[in-house]
Amino acid sequence: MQQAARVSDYTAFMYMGKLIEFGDTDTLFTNPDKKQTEDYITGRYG
Amino acid sequence: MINKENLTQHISQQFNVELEEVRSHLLAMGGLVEKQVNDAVTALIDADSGLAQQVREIDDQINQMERNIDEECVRILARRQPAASDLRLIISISKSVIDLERIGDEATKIAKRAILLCEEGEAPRGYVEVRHIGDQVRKMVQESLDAFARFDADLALSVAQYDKTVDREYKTALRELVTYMMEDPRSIARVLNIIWALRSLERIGDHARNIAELVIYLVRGTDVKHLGLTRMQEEVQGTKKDS
Repeated sequence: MQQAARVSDYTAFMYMGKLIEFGDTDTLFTNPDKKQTEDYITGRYG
Repeated sequence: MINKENLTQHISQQFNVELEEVRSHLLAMGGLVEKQVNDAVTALIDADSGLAQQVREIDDQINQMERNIDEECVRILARRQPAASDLRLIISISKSVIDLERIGDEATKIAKRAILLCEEGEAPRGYVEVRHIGDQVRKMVQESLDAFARFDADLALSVAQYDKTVDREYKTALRELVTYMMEDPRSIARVLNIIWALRSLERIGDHARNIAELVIYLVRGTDVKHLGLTRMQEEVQGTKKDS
């Protein structure tokens, strides 16, 4: 995940084959829109 | 939107504990700083040099707390690489701590003025203003910390808005004291002490506003610094996220 944050311009978060959120890497890792994305990147599950 | 429960749901229990700890340390420091402001204003109004001396001594303790919280933040950044709301929490804490420490410094300055006033004799004017603005500023500090504790962006917004009122009162008080000094130049030295104290109070209000802005950043994820109150209000009351 750290690698993805470092090298990409855009990030998509997918869970169980579904696209949950897509956006600018900076935004996705600092202030994601969806609760599920937030929980994943902050290490609350997965 | 984030709330308090967010802090306790990490897979790593130890991470939960660390976040909760640094947050409660910040609030403890906030409590002490709030008391310092309160004591400094009381010391000035009651001409209590003992209390003022005590305020100056406790400042070391606040500086020490700042250093400890800073250290904790750096450790969390290095070891946990926090993201999203966790990252915003750590950033807001490490910035708020600077403002709290400055508030502590301003309280010490007020205490110093209180001691000078005890030695040089009371100022003929200005105590009403100090009490009044002191009360308002203390409320701002208290509410900005409350907002931090409860992740309450609306309360933070009202603190930021209140800063305008304090600035206005400060200007009015200044104008009045300047007029008084023109009428009675012999009082200038003593009235100046009161003016410095008022200035410190006004600065404390600014720092409380900074903390409030950090709370909005923490909760909403948008930086509202230098945006002006209207834009700030839009950010706080505008788009709410699904939760």
